[in-house]
Amino acid sequence: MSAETPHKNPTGPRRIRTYFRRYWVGFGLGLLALACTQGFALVAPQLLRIATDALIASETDTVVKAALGLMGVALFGALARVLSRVQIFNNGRRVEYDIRNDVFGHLLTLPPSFYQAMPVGQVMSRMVNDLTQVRLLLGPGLLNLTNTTLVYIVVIPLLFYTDFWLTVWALLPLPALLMLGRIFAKFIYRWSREAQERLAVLSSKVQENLSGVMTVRAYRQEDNEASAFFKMSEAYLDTNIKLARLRGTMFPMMGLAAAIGSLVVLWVGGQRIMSGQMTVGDFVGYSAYLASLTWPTIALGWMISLIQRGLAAMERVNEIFEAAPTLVDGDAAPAEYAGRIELKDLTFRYGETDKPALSNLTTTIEPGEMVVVVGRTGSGKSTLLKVLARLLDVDRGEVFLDGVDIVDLPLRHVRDKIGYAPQDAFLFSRTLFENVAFGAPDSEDAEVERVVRLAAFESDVAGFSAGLDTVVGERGVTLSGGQRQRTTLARALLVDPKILILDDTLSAVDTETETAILEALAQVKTQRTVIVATHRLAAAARADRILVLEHGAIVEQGTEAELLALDGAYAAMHRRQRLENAITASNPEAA
Amino acid sequence: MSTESRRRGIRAVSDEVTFGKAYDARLVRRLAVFFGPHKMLLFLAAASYPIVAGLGLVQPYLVKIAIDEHLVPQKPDGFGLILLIMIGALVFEFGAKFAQTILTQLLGQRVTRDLRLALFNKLQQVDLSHIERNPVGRLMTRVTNDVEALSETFSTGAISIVGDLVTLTGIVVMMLALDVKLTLYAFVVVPFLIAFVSFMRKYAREAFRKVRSLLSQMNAFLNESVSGMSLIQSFRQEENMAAEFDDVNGAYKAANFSSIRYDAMTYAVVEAVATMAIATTLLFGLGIFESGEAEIGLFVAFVEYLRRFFQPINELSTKYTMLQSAMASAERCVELLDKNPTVVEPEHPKALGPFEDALRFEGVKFAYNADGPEILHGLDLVVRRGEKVAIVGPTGAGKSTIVKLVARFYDPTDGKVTLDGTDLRDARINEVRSKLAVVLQDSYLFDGSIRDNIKFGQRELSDEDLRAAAERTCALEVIDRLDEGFDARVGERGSRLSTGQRQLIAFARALALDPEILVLDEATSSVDPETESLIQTGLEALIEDRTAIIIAHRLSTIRRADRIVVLAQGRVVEEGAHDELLELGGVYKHLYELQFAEQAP
Repeated sequence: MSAETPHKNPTGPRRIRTYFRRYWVGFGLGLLALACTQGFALVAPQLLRIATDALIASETDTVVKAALGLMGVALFGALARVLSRVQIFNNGRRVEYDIRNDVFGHLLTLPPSFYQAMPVGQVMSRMVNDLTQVRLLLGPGLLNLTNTTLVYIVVIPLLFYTDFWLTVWALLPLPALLMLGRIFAKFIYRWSREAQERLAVLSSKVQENLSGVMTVRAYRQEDNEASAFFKMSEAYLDTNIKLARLRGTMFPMMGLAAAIGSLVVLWVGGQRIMSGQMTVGDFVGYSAYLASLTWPTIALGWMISLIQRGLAAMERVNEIFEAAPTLVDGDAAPAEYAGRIELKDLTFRYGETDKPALSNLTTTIEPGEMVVVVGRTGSGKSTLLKVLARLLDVDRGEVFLDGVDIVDLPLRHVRDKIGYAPQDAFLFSRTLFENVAFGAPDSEDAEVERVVRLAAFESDVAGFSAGLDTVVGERGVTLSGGQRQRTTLARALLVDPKILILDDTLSAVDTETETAILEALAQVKTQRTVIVATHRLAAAARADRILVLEHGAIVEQGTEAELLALDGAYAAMHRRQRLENAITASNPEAA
Repeated sequence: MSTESRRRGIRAVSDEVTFGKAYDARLVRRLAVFFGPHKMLLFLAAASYPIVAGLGLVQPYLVKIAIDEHLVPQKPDGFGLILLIMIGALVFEFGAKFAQTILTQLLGQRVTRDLRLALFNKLQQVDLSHIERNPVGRLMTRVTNDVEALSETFSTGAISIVGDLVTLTGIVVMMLALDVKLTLYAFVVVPFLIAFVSFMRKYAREAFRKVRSLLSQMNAFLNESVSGMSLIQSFRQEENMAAEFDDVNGAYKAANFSSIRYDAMTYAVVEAVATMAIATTLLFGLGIFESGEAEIGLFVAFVEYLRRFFQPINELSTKYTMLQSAMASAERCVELLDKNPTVVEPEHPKALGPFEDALRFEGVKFAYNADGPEILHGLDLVVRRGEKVAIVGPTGAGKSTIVKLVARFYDPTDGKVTLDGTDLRDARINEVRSKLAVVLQDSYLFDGSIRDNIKFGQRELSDEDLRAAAERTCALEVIDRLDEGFDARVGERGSRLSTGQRQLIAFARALALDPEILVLDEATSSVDPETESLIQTGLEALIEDRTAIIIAHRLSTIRRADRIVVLAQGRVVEEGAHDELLELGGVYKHLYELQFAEQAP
């Protein structure tokens, strides 16, 4: 993963540097404090050496001084340590916070095409896991890397200076330790990923099993499901056991390598003490310095992969930053927003090489008109409505709102005038009130209640004990499809739009209720242009005009009577629906 | 009710972030079952801890002997022996640690695997209501994240907190054995450490809890806003959402700041106390060494013992928090394991013979929740062998509930459902279900090949039978068009197939089972005319010569039925043939006209 990134895209590391620089004072202070911490820590073995020799020589004053010195070292070391950790870790968190806010800010500007290419899970994993990796790079990564560097450049020369050959022998296991750390880190990383993947497989199985619970039980597949799950569990166990063996080898091995060093010191150092070349104090001090190398060395392998992972993670975060908002924002404004929409030769493609989803659409929708768009799945209904809601971008000269090219209008103005209720009735984990008032959070209770009534949702709401304060969505009460759709409708109505766009919004509402809602809308529609995409032709009967789409083109338009008289595509659709349509509402019951 | 209370922004439903005690005897007893099959492993792992701890005590003592007996008196005789013993101790320690780590992890992995399997099996048995009432994600968490949290305590060594305590005790005992007074001098500062750590722990724990809770809140917020991005944009709520995100992101940062502060302080204090301990040993122990009561080797050994004493202490608080969150996870797992289904096997099951007479609903009342609304109010319905009954009615009439009761996913609140006179509750659940093939509205397919989906566990089904079932239900027309035919993978939830194609596969699956009774909740979604005609033909094959209960949504289906039952508000309101019902001029006629007003028969 780390291998593919460096040359391709240099802006990841550069971006980290930019954020890092923002807090350089804090990071600098932290690193300075870290240097002090290490400074104090490295004085301790000297004091220990002095104390040991003084103890042997019974020099009470020196021992007391050394002891007091150790206390001072402990005290100041602790202060410096707190300062260094707090500064470095806090600033790492600050960078994480800044990047996360910036990414989210950018996400808010990205068009639907981006979200089609990058599913929610992917975005989430960048915002959560990858940013954690970046933060680990700037927090513990930076701290430990600096630590290791400091200890190495101070302690290793000191050891050589103290006793060259002893050091040569004692440090003999060090390169091996470094290598081992590197190799183990690589395998741990690789197998952890494998474990993650196998866990993901396991999770999807659980999800599938739970989502299809009725089918599983009706076909008595509980045992088969359990044995399939058992196999996946075993695969996961295998990887975990590989990891366990690795860890089981790694940590004792590291300990062994360090212990060999101290054994060498005892052996060679022992000879020298006995021959009078070295004091016991020298031995104690030397051992302490040698011991101080152990942890930084063990950590080094881990740090290197931490840094690589952090950089690779930043590259992935960068993919979001690099996605450009494709919608262009204009600054023109019509004299007045009335709700007239003109389409001139509108052609739309999702990708440059795709075949057009809409081709050469030309029509004018007058203010106050109610237009119903019908056509088969994939005929371009949703695309047309998304274009009108300005969720998809069009070329200049194709769509005009009240005489002004929609491309030249400020996005916020356009969206202000349009109430859009999409097919997938999405609700937030908030109260019904908040969901309805989503587009106009400062609405009065009475306004919200009015649109709830208009959406024929009133009696449902009354059925909830908390009424409009009922929390809905993933973490709240589960609403039926029809209830969700009516909430969506109320939400679109509340912003009192000049143009109301309903993209198959009432598909899960039973026919009677749908009829009632459309009647109500028809009564208040005088000031409002209403555009409805639907599969149900019952709704079409109420339209001022019906647009029939086929393969992204308008093939027929007119009132229902006109179209039936025409005896073309619409009439055929009408006949077929009479034959095939459900006798009741096409409403999957809320289970 | 004030409008103020209605805008609380995102919901901080952090039900997944609770912390238990680090050790809960009741939970541990409950989970002990899972250690049972791995007794040997448990024993060996447990035995390794005192061995490792004991071997760790040897080295500093050897250094003491070396200094006092050989180095200081300059007597090389026997120094080689000490080095050899030291090498031996190192090798043994390495071996013991190796065994300890691996045994502990093996134990942990096996135990959590067993727990995971037990949870999954439990999910196959719990009441359907439990699954329907909880979001899938929340139940999934039990089998994945919660078990992982337990598993992590093994893989990160948090479980060795017990072993650490053995090590610490060993060191103290060894030091006391060497010199009681000097030990007391060395540990003079430890009470301060204990006081400080226990004072801090409360705050650190609270800070950590807050961090976790805010993280899950932030994730929920992100997930939702990214999913609902087009809504945010079309309602121009970008600024509000950015501000709300900044709130939760900022709160998360702030919570981390305080967590970092407590961690840094604890860490620094432990490190400082470790150095202080050497200083106090020197300061107060001075007299002991000067009087010759103790030799310098003892001091060197003490320095080393102290280093080994304080090393695990730093990790103790991290391990403690991990254990706490693992206990909370364990609690949730146990809660699921202890959930007893209410739809249960009878104590003395009656055998069901071949279906001969009728399936009856006798005064069936049903509510999904005890305090929820009643869906069926005394439903009476008879379906005779060989009869095809279409059930129609407006949304909310209780049609789909009938399917759930026949398949015994639920039991009636009152009244009974009988098969040839036997109450379904008196028969084995699987026997009841073996009589039926259920085709649900949303034709759930599993990620796998088309073959697997049609066979669906009927391993003995021959390829010819498979093909025949597909052919009769018109599924073959779909399958033959795919490059890989029966081996084509359908994708997650059958996503690579269209709705209509999924229905046809579900038909083939039901027909392959050749059930005595077919229960079909007809899909409502509209499909293209070609597929629609395939579905009609397939449906005909499916119900031919078979008892069938069909929740019908299509006129053509209704026309095929021997009898139409009109359900309204949990009761049968009309019953009869199509023409009879139209003549009756009741609910059916109304329903019919609403949709088919312009149809001239």
